[in-house]
Amino acid sequence: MSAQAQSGVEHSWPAIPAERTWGRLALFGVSVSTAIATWCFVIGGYVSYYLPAGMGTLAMVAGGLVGILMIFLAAIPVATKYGVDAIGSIKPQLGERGSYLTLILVYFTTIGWNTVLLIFLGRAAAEILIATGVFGEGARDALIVAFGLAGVAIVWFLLRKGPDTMRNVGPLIAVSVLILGVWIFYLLVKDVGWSKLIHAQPSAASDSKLWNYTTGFELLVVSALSWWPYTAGMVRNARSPRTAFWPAIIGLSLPLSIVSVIGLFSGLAFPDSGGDPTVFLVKLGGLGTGVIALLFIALANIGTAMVGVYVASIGLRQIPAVQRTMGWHATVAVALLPVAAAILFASGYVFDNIGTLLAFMGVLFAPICGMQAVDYFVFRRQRLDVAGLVHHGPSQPYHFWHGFNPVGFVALGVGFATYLYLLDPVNYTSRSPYQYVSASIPSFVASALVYWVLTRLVVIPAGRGGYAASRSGDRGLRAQDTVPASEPRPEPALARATERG
Amino acid sequence: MGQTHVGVEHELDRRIELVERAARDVEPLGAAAYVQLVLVTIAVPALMLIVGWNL
Repeated sequence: MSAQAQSGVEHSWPAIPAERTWGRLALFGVSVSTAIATWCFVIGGYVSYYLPAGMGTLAMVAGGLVGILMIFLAAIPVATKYGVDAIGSIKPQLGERGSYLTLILVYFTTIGWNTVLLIFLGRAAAEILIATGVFGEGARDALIVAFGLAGVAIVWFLLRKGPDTMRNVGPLIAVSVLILGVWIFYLLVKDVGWSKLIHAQPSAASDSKLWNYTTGFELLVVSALSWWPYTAGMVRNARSPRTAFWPAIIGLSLPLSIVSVIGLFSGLAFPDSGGDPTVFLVKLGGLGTGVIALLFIALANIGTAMVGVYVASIGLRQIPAVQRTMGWHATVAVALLPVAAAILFASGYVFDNIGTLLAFMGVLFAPICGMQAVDYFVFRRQRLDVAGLVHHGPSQPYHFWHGFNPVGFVALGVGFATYLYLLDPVNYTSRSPYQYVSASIPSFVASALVYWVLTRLVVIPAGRGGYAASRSGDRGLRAQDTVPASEPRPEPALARATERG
Repeated sequence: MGQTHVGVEHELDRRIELVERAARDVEPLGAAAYVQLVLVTIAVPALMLIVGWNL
């Protein structure tokens, strides 16, 4: 990659065609390597609390596919057409300043996931050293922290060259984890027995079969939704929605479901493990096999954490001050610092609350997806103003009111409230009709509906948001033509000097 | 990093022009693709849920 192209992918600016070098295979490889992180084992472990093997498997695959539909509608057409990342893609809905809200959400969720991954790495490494007798059981916590921090350093080192490392290493890691998953599944069937696995009962099921089934489905919907920030960051490196179509749908949903199913079987066979293979691999496969499998886990987590940190880094570079003053290496370090702090001070707490982290993904991202889908397909008719995605100021189409679109925030609020009414993400208590409709789907629909109604009633009549240009189909119509008379219009030269994002 | 403000502005303008031009050439997904999307992400999961419920 040329130096110029390198600078582009390390900025939050829309990627130009020369930078979008990922073909179907590369995108599929990176999607798979992102999706089949070892957190999938834990997701499956959560489902094993509620569902047995057969029902759980089908509910999980179905949930993964439905979650990817929401992500697809929200992120893939816009990111592949305009080369924008997740934060850039939401400016037309929340406004140029309002989009910083999602920057905060993306930053914290990627911190959460990266912390989980690198703690997982630390747990795998600690298990290897304890199982081989190098350290005693008492050193476990210190080893988890030390290797987690080593993982932080390795991810920073590998990301120095931008996304090329992900593309080159991604497929290798994906294949490695798939082999690991198949191997774990083989060991489970061999040592525990197929019949015992199939008939094993969930360890914390409620009295309602329907509630358990819906919860198993919902857990995979929210897991897939958690790819929202990752998906746009990845597919913007492809040149068209056609290139990204199957690699993203299949690459993100099926591997997630398949590896999660192995976690489900693991959780059913070893209820105390919660699906976490670092707990039982040595016991199941013996010392030699267990150690090799644990090494696979450590490697795989490095790969997925790289994608997460890359996404968080380009998100940070949406902040003009970061873009102006900070180099790529420093930005990656800033994205990694909170991860290092969480590993150092709260590794046990984070790992014990993955279920809550997962549910919050649904709370946050289902309404975002609903709003984005209705805006891009219904109101924008799949056309955005590229300059408006980059420049800030009253003359720009996505300025709305002082940089915020209140309608977007109301729609998000309604979506959040819908989710929280149906399912409490902290203690998993629910209200009817959750058992019939789940929580993410109604949240997606509620947000989309509210956005649709209020945009028609408020934003379009007020002449804000650049909708006139999108609806007229006149691609040459610039934002200045849609600025209401009440907004001051800066002189062009002055505006150009002051509005750079 | 080493780029002047004018240099950054020039690069940004060039980038906007290139992305706009590329976006004009991007062929959107057709109806067939969206039918496939609905089949794979709604019809198939619905069928799976029905089968799973009856296990």
